Amino acid sequence: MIDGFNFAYLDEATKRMIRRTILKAICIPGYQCPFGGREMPLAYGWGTGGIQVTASIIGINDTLKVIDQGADDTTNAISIKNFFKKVCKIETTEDTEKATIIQTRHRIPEKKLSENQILVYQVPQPEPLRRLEPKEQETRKLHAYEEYALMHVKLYEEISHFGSVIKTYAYPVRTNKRYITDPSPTPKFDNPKMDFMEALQLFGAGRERRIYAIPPYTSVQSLDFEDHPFQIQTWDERCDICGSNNSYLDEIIINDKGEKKFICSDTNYCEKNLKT
Amino acid sequence: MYVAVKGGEKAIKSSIELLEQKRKHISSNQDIKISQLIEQLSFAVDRVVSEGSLYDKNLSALSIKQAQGDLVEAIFILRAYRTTLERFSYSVPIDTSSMTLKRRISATYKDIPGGQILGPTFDYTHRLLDFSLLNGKETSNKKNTPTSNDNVFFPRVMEFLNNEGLMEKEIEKLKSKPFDITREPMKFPASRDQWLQILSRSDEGFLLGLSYSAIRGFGSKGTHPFVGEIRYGFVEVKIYPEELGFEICVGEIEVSECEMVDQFEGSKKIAPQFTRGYGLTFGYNERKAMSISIIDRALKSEEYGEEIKFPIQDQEFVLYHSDNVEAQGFVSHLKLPHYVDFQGELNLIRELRKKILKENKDD
Amino acid sequence: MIVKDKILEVKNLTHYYGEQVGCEDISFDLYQGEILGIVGESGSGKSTLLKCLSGQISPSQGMINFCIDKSQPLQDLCKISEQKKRALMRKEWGIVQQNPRDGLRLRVSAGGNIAERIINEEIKNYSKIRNKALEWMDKTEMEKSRIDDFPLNFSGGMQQRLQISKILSSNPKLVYMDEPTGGLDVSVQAKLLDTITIIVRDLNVSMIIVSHDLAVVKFLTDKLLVMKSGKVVESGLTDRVLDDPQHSYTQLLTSSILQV
Repeated sequence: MIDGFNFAYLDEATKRMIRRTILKAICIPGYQCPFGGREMPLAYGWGTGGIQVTASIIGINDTLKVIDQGADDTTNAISIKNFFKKVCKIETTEDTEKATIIQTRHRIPEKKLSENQILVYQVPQPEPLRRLEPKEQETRKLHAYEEYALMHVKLYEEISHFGSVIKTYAYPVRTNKRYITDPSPTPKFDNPKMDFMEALQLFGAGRERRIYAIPPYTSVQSLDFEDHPFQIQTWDERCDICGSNNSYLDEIIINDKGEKKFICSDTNYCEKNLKT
Repeated sequence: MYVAVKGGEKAIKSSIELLEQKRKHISSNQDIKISQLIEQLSFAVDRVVSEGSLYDKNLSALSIKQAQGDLVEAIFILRAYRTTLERFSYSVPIDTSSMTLKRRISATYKDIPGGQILGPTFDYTHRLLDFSLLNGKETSNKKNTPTSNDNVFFPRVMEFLNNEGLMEKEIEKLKSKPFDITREPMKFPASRDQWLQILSRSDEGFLLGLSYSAIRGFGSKGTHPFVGEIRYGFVEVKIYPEELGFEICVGEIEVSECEMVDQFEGSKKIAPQFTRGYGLTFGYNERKAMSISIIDRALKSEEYGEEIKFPIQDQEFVLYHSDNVEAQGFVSHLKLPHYVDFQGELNLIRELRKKILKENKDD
Repeated sequence: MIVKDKILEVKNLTHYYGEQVGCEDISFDLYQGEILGIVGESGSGKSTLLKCLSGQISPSQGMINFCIDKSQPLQDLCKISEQKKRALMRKEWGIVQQNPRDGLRLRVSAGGNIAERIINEEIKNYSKIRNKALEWMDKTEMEKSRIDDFPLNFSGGMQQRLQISKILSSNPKLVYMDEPTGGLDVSVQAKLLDTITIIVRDLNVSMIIVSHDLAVVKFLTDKLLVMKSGKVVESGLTDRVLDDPQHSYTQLLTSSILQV
C-alpha cells in the first residue's frame, strides 16, 4: 500500500476484471469487449481507459513512458505520468527504447517497437461506425454479422465528392481480416506501423467502457478501394530541429506574420535523431 | 533554428498553486467549516450526495469545499473516492412505505388518509431577496423539523388506484439479480432496474430539461402526468447478516420519492388503466425525483408499443448522456491538445482548396 | 413448355399482434419470372403479410420456403439464423418501400445507395462500383448525371426508380413492392409501370406487388391474391379474378375499378 492506495490505485479485484477483459480482447483481435470501468481521479475523456489498462498490467519492475501528441512533456502526459509515479513508485522514462509500457494519446512512436513492449492507446470513441450509426444495439449487430458495407459506402461518398478519402486521423482498419477497428485518433500516417507490429497493442476507452486489443504480428489493413489505395501524409518540409524527412511533423507558427516551421511530433525520436 | 518550448511540468505546478490561492479567505479570515456547509447549504450537499452516488454528507461537504463550490467538480471528486471503497454487504431493499415523513403530498386527491404534509419546501415562499441574510439572521432554538407521528398511518396513494384495478401493476419481484451499474457496463435494451439506477445519479439539469420537453409536447401524445405522491423523509437501512439470521438496522438515510400517474392505455378489448412512473434519489432532491418519474414512464414507451419519436423516449439517448461525470469529462477534453489530428485536417483542407482554386483559374 | 423454377412456397403463414390477427393461414406458390399481386383495403392484412415474407418480422406460425440455390431444396426462412437471413435480404430479394425514406439513405448520394448493395457482393474497385451504379441508373431510366446527388432532393418517381436500381443491382430472385405508385401522379405512375414491366421481362425477376389500386395490379400482375380481414378470400390468374370475380368481396372491389 502506498499512501493509502493499493499499488496502481485500483483494487486487485478490479485489476483482475480488467485483465480478464484484456485476455478476451487478445483472443478476438479488434473486437470491443465491454468492461465494468471505474471512475478514476482523472476526468472521462482524459485517458481513464488507458489509465485503467496500464494500472492493471503494470508491475514494480516496469518502466513507463507516457506521451500525448507524440511528446513526453505535454501537460496531460505529465499529469498521467505523475499519477502513476504517485500510486506505483515505478521507473519512468522518455526513451522509447527503454520503456516496457508506453501509454499514448494520438500517436504511435516513430521508433519501431519490440516484442517485450506494450503500447496502450487512449481511445475517446471505440466504435468506428458510430458516426454512421448512432445506436449501439445496431452497431453490435453490424460487427457480429460482418455487415460493413456502410463503412465502404462512406469511403465511396468521400471519393465521389472530394476525389479521395478525406479521413486524416482515426482512419478505420480491418484487424486480422475480421473486425473493423478504430485505431484511436492517431494520424493515418501511423496506420502502417500497426500492421504486424511486434509489440502488443491495447486500447482503453474508459467513458464508453470498452477494451480492445491487437496481438503481436497481426494483420491490420487500412480500408480502401483497389483503385484508390490508402496513402499516408507527406511533407515537403523537413524537421527544423533534426532534419528528419520521414517522421510526422507538427506545424508551429513562429511570429506575427504567420511564418511557419515544422518539427517532429515525436520529441524523443527528434532528440535521438539530432544526436546521431 | 527552432527551439522547442519545454516546461509542461512547471506549468502544471503553477496552475495548481493558483487554484489554491483562489480559495483565499481574506475578508472573513474564516475557513468554511464542513458543518456549516451541511447545515446552511444542505441542498448543495444533497445534490452532490445524489449524483456522487455516495451517501455521506460529510464527504459531500468536503468535496464541495475542495471544489470551491463547483458542484459538478465536487460530484466527480466524490465519485472517484467511491471507486476506492470496498463493498462488504448489500442492504435489504429500503421500505419507503414506512418512511418517517418530513413531507408528503399528492396532487391527485384533495385529501388523503394521513393528510397533506407540506414540510420544509420553497414551494410557497415568495422569491424576494432577503437582505436580512447578509448580516446573519437570528435563528430560533427550535432546530428539528417536525416529522410524522408514528401513530398516524400514511397509506400509499397509488395503492388506492391499484386496488380499484385502475393502475397498472408495478413489478412485484425481479426475475434475476438486479443490474449493478457500478460494476457492469450498460447493456441495451436497458432493463428498468438499470435505467432507474442510472437516472438516480444523473445530472439534475439534464433530467429537468428532458422532462420539461416531454410535458411541453416532445413526449408521447398527451403526456400530462399527475403527481400521485411525493415523499421526503428518513428510511432505515438494514442488512441481513447470515450469521445472525435476522435483519439489523445499520443507519438511516434521507430519500426523496415521487410516483407519477400518467395517461391510460387500453384498446377495445383491454380495459384501460393508468400507467405509472417512479423516481427515487438520495437526499432532498424533489425536483429530480419528479423528473426521473416522468422519464421512467417515457422510457417504457417501447414496451407499450408507443411510437418512439422524441429524445426522452430513446433509451440510448437518455442513458448515455445523463451522467455529468462522463459528460463533463468528454466535453472538457476538447481543451486537450489536438494539434496532431488538426495538422492532418490543415494539410487536407489546403490540398483540396489548392485543387479547386487551380481548376477555377484554368476555366 | 418451359419448366419454371419454384422460388417461393408459403404454407399456412399466420401472424398475431398480441390478440389481434394480422394475417391468417396464407398459402401460395411463386415461380421464377411470375408477378403476384396482393390486393385488399387497409386492414386486410396485406402489409403484415408483406413484412413477414420480406423478413422484417418473424411470423407467429407457418413456413416461408425460399429457393436460395436452384440445386438445393427450398429452405424455410423462419428457421434460419438471423445472420443468414440478413445476408439473403441484402442480396436475394429487396423491398421497394412505399415511403422512400424507409428504402433509401436520403443523405447518401444516389450512387452511394446503389453501391451499398453492390459492395455487399465484395467488389472492391471504386470505378467498377461506380460504373455498375451508372448501368443500373440507365436501365431504370434515371438521369446518370444525378449519380452524386442526394435522393432527398429527388422527385417521388425518381426515388422509386432509385430504390428499384438499388435492389436489382444485386441480381435478386424476388422484388417486393409496397404500393409502388402511391403518392405519384398519373403520368408518372404510367411511366414507372412501363419501366417495371420492361425490367421484369428482361431479367426474369419475380415480383410480389402489394397494392390497393386494382388498375396497377391489372396492368402488372399475372396472378392475384385478394385479402380481407387477414385472410385470402380469392386467388387465381389476375385476368380471371378481375373479369369474373367469385367472392362477394372481390365483386365489391372490382365494381369500383377505374378502366386504365
